[in-house]
Amino acid sequence: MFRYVLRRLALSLITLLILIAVIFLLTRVFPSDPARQLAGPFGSQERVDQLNRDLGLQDPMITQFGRLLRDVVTLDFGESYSQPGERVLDLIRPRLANSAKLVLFALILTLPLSIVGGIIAARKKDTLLDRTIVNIGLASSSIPEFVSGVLLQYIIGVKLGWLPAVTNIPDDASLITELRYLLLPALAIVFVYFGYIARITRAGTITALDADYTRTAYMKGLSTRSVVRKHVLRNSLQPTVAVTGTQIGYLFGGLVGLEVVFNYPGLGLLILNAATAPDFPLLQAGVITVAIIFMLCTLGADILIAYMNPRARMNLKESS
Amino acid sequence: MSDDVDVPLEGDPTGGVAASEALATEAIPEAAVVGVDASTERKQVRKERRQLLLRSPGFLFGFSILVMWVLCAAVPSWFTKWGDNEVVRVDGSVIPRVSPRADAWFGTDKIGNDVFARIIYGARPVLIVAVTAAVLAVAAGTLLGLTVGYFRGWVDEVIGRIIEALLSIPVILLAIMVLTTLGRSQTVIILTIAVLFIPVVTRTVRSAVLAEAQLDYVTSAKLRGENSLFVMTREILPNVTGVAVVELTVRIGYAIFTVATLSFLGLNAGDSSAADWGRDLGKQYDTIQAGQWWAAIFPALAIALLVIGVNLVADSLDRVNKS
Repeated sequence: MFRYVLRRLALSLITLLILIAVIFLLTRVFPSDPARQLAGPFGSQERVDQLNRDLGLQDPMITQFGRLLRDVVTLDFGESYSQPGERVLDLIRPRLANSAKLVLFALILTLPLSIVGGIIAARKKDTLLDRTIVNIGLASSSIPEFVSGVLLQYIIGVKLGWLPAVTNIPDDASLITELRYLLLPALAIVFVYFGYIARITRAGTITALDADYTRTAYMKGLSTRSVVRKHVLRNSLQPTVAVTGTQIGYLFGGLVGLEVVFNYPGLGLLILNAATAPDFPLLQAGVITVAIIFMLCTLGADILIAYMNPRARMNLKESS
Repeated sequence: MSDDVDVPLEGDPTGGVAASEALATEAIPEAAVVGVDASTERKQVRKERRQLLLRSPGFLFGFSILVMWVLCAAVPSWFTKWGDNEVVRVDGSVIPRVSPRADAWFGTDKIGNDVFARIIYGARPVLIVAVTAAVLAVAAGTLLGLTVGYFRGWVDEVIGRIIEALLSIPVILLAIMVLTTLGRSQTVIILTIAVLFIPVVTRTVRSAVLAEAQLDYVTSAKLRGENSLFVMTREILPNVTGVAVVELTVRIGYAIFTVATLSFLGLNAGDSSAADWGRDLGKQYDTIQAGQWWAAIFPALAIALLVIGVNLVADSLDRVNKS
């Protein structure tokens, strides 16, 4: 198991390295003159040259890439361009915490609902109930999250007035108040992910219910309850764990539209603002943060799967 | 390890049925001599699949939605007397922010445009960009997936790593980065979405090719001494076309999703007053707080309806393809 974790970690690091290279190329190679942007249109040429020297923007590409890697390892991305005097890391930290709060809350709402929905659909396969769950899931998960966000905001926040329509959480809010503010954006996420996770769980459960080991368990004379709990779930939930792992990564940075709708200061909004400023250190650091989170979540999911299913540990050896 | 994650997403791209069918139609071209006409059998399969599709309510519903939007995109003037940018005037005066009523079904927006007309005209830009991007991505991804899946080796390893790296960042973030550095024009947006979708298409096609390449008809083609190009394009490609078609519809759905998000965020190209669902939603959603819901909710519903239509079709095609 320990060897598996090490190998898996090494693979993640390679992936991350490639990704950092891609992000570096995207922000550095394409023609743009950050020093000129910093100095402003009326800044003197001397100022631009000075900035170029200070920021090392005229060093060879490989030196610049090395510096970015050092920044990632030390978690020190220097100063923001758009907010001079602010450390990039200090700008990212509160946003990361906000994104984590929203994602965690949304997952606590989504996972039990969609796993139970998926298992019920699988046990009642091809009945009206199954088709209802699958089709509602398909429809709701295909709608972009900012669209369902706007619809929920209007119906629940404005028309019915049950919940705050924007997330301008007061500073001294208690946890309950904070959750009240977060409930609408979290529901928009539930809307998108319920169908997706329920479908994955349903597919996994159907496979597990049809498997030989399930038949054997039934033939041993075990009750349905104990077959499902001890034999089916352990196997059927593996795809769900894998998918949840990858989706948490997306949720941390991919909710740009939703954060705009609810004016919620998460990572997505930070990256969007960094891109439009443009503030390259902040943009790079923001996207790399999302990549690191994604890496940690998929790593966690794979380790959990390896724990649930010893065969998964073997697969890595064969496939790589 | 990436394969662990792949499995649930892609399920079983080519079931045993497809495999035996492939054997029947491809491996034994002399089958006609034996008595089973391969091409009639294939026609039979296609006919059955078509009938299965036409009996599925999900497909019919999704398909009618698509037909409706394509008609709106093609001939918007059939549906509304207003231009997309034309300010509605009643008795010579501009009437902004009126709620839905008989002479303006969906009301008018902040500027005084007819919201219904903007919904009709808004179908064209999103469909053109999304469909072009998806077609490019699926063409390139199928080619790449076919090549790496057939030859394997170190190129496959390297490309596999790069694909995995690219898939670990939300598409929308990479799109935002590219559009910031390259500037925004319709061409750049189409190419960006196409390039960002290539990795996932490649992965799907590659795993379908891997499954096919193990089958006897491929081995026998190789033993016949056919060259790689022939085996890839004439033997394997026809058997992964179903997967590619499903992938195309799924990608069109995601492309619409991405285009709408980018426009919503204000990252789109072209005339900023032209009708565009995402942009209209982005510009008008603040009026919701004031109770003027129509200018934002209708574009939101239009986006939702189009994506649901595409996904219903994609889902039915997928199911028929696997059956």
